[in-house]
Amino acid sequence: MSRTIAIVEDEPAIRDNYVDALKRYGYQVHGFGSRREARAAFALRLPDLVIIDVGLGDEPEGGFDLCRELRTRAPTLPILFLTARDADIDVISGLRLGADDYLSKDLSLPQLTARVTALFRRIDALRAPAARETVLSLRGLRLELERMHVTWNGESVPLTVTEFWIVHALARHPGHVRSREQLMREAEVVVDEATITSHIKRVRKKFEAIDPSFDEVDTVHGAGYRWRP
Amino acid sequence: MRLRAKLVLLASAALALPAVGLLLVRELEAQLRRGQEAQQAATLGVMARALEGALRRDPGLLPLAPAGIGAPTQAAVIRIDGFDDDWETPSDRALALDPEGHLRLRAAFSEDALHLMIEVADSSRLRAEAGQPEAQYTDRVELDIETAAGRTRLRLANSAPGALSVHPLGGPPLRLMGEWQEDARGYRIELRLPTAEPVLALGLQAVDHARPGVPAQRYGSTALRPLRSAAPALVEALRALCPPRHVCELLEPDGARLIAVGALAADDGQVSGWRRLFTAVLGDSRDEHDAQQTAADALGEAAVDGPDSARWRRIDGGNRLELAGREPLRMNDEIRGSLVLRQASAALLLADRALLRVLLASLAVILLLAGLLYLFAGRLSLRIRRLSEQAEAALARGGADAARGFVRSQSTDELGELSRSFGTLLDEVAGYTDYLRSLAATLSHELHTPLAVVRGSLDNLEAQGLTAPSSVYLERARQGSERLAAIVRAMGESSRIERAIASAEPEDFDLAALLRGCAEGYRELLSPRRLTVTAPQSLGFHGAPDLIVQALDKLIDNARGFCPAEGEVRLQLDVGPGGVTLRVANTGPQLAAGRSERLFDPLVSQRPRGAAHSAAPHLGLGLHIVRLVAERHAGSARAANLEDGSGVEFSLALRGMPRPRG
Repeated sequence: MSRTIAIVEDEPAIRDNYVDALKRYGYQVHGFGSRREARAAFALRLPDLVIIDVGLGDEPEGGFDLCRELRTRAPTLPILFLTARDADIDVISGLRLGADDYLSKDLSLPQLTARVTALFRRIDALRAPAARETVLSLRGLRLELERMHVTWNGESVPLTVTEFWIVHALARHPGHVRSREQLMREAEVVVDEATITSHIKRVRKKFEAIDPSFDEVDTVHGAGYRWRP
Repeated sequence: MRLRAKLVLLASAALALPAVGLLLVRELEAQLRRGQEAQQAATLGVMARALEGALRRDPGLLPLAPAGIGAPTQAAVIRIDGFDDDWETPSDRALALDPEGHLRLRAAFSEDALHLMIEVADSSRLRAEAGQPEAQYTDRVELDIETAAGRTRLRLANSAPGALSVHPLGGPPLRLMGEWQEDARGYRIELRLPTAEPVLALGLQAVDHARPGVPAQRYGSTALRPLRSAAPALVEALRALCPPRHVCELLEPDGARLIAVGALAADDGQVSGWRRLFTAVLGDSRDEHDAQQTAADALGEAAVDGPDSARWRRIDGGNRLELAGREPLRMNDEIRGSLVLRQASAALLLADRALLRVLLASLAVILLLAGLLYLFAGRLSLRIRRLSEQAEAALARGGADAARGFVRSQSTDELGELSRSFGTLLDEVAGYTDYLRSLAATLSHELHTPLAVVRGSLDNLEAQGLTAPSSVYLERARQGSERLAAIVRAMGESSRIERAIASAEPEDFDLAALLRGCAEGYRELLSPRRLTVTAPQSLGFHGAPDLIVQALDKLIDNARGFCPAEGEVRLQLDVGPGGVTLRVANTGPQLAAGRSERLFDPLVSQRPRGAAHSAAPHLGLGLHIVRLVAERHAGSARAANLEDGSGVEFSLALRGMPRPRG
């Protein structure tokens, strides 16, 4: 059975574009123009993945409230946040809403679909417990690729999809410097370098929240970042 | 002209006040003089009427004796020395006893004794002593004196200058003292008659023997002429009438002085010290200065011309004035003489203490006013200057910060209003700059949505599968939207950067190592230009390394844009007492004069426009970011031309981000 995706976006053109693109991938996609509509639909049936535009119409908090409601109902439901401004990502992620990723609307449709695909793959991987797991271990880091799950010293680190891909790009070749462009490609984002910097900052923060002595990510100024070899 | 100078110039118009005061003083002075003259005229009138009354009762007091010999009383003491320098009657007023003037006589009372000055023109000398028998045949003077005792005849002759030798020729004995002097014209006899017997009449004859044997010339005659002298009673009457501290004189109709009584008070009109200065400045220059001429004489001259009431004359070297008035004495409609009254007066009547004090006070007030005005002008110009400096400083800050440091004046006057208007103006400027800056951000934000629509649609279009020609158009459309996206991103970059800078968290790191690390990356970027790096081995610094790197990136990007291919870029890190200095210099064109501060303002670009440089528009944000980063690190950014004129250097003075407290 094909997966259902719900897109909550008030701008009709953008919404329709998303809907068409994802439909092409064989998903069942429903678009909602307002929180009210979405909530009414979710009351009947929960989708398999929700994409929420943060700045919903005239309700600045609308997207966040919806996310909170969904989380209480389905803690494992994949939720993607979209925002018009990169800068909001910092703010939003700080709110710890438990979304799986925070993206700017600048990203292209292929990049969006890549994330959707990855998220669904993760769900499948989580459901299939004993399947072969690609694991990357490096000191305290344990990275499970299919499940898109990272632990540090045994504790789970809640990374977004984008952040996961960045960590994976770095840890895959420890000691190699990865430039920001390279990281952007790996993370399937097209942003300016400052956003990569803030992603790295967020990654560090999440690790440091678990282990204050976390120091695996080196900044090589002028070149990029690398994972400690 | 500066404000202060203008106001002082205006204030100098107030000097008209003392000038007017001066005129006032002069006017008052003239009035006071008139008053004094009138008062004196009144006194004179009273005195004259009194005298006339006395004369009417006793005409003998002032005898009509025009043909007599006048003998005025003179104040100066006459010394018997044969010289007439102590005689008040001048030589040309002497009585000529013969038509040719060979024999001239002057008579005067001095110290109550009658003095005679006899001048004889006799150049043929044939002299002998009066007692000698030859004296009958030599030059001599024969003097007849009539007193109450009788008529005395005397022969006066000297063979040589010296004490007068007298030989009595008859009559009651009379002792006299005299002196005989010779000069080129002839000889002079000065003698004093005793006071015991008042002289009633005189007869004088000069005998001139030219040569022995030649008959003598006789001048004058032995006929007696009465002595016109004042009766003692008249003198007493005059003395009684004369007010104290005045001199009173009785003049004969021809102006000769008959009686003089009284004396001027020595302290009348004396002024001391600095008041003399006023006298010199304010006194009437019309006062007569001729000390030689007595007032009487001057008045005497006027007697011929007509009625004249008063003359002012300076005495005592100009420190005092003498007021002299004249009143004719009439009897039976003829003028028998005139009365002269003289008094000393202060040269400046207003040298009265009180009035002078008033004048000085007003002068002091004027000076005080001028001083106050000067101070006020000074303060005013200071306030204006301060306002102007503040405004210029605000403008130099420019843009949104313009209004920040500007302090509005609280005062209620026009300057205060001006200051507040300035403040409002600067607020407007700041607001406008803010609006402009946020406009870019707002536009950027607004454009995101339609841009997303376009790009999403293009993506979908591509996924539909397109024929070759269509995909060309698709590609073009995509490129166009990419450029649009870059522009939109650049527009929003400013506020993004500012937010990032503000939220950056400091850490301790090695600034020198960071610089070297970055330099390696820049080397390749800058080639074929040369890159030299000068930095200490290591340098601990507290700040945000990402921001420093961003600033460096911008500076290097800037250098790359302006440095020619054969040029050189220099990176330098110095440590100083105030902090760290990071310098990026490049060879190339220099900065225009006066623009160096403005370079760091946002939206200022020196680059030539053109598609060759970059896809994104050059909004001039790079250096703005550099400055913000510098300021975040408690420092500053500066641009200057290199001293040798080869290029430009940007320097960042950094102290390090403040450490969090606690």
